[in-house]
Amino acid sequence: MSEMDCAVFQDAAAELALGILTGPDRAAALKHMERCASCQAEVASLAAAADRLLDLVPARGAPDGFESRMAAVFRQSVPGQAARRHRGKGACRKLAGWRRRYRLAVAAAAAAGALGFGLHQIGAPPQQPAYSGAEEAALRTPAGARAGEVAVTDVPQPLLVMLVSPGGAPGWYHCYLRTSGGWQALAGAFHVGRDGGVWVSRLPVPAGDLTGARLVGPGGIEIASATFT
Amino acid sequence: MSVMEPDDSLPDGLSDEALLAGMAAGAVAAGTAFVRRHQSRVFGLALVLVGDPGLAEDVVQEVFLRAWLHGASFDARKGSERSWLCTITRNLAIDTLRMRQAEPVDPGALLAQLALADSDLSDHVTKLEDAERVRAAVRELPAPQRRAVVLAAFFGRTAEEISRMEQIPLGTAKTRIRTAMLRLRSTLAEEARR
Repeated sequence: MSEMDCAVFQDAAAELALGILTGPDRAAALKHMERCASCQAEVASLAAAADRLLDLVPARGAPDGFESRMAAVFRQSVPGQAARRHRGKGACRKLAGWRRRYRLAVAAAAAAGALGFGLHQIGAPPQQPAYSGAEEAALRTPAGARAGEVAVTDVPQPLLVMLVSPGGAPGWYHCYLRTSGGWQALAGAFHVGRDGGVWVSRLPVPAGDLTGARLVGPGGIEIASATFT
Repeated sequence: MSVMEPDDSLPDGLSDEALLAGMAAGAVAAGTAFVRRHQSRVFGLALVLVGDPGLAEDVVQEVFLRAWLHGASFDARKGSERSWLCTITRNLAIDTLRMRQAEPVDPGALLAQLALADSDLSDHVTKLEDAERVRAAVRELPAPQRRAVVLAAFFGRTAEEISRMEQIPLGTAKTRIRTAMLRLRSTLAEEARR
């Protein structure tokens, strides 16, 4: 595959944005885009214009019961099943990653409602990740076992989402945050049941200042910690 | 988990990206929320392309099944979720017409339909205004560029195919597509600033 420079890429950018660039040209353009931020931005803005063309299509109401029929189809077809059979652990890790992202997004959206944030600010912006500027990290026990996940974000407001895996001792847990300045801030306390728990809270400091989190269980014992990279 | 399993009823406002993550994880609630959000636009496009409501429903069902099965492969850097769905829809519509040896919708007729048609769902006032802005921007394009961009955006025709259909050199087809898209982007950006 020949290398594509910015000038050649610019000629192909509109076709790429419209999804009609094919074969080696498409592969070369994608390869170039991977390492060129300005060409990425060019395609993104052209893709946004291409997206607007879809406004021209008259919307049509779906036939009655279409949504239920699709739900039934979804239940019969497991995403990525074939890939998992062939690719093993890697695909399973990916699936776990998708689950985690989804659960965090659901928890954050629910929390946004509960905490009075504008829900649309979390979810709606097109082409923006649900967690712009977010950090996610695994919570690990001192022995290195996975105990859950923690995510922090500054968008739309400083927010912390902590998921604790099932299997730990039930009771009240405290979450402490470590900042780049070195000091620890108590983010709050929450109850974890036998089936684990999800906890969402406003962050007392900006997400960008955080370097880690500690989960302290009943009796003041550190259960797990996470490091943001 | 005590708060939210993937198939619980979902809070409002989840992004498409979050719903696709849920779909990749097998959460049916995320899949149906995604269908609810996009079905009217996807139906509209499928119907415009295949011209038959029954055939359009088959196409749309397959579109959402593919989104369900392959949501994990969506890459936001290459376009929005809506564009991605549009690409799947038009490819499936074209395949369906080929399989059934049915006549594709004439691009000229589609052009007329898109230029004249109004949404039959009162989505939202701003949506209608948006559509009018886009329609005006497309109308401002010279006819050859307008045709090239419609063939590319709605029929998925490559520059090479457009050059054959329009009997023009490949370079001219590419230039028409590129120029049309640059003008559209510029016009829409100007409109947005007003």
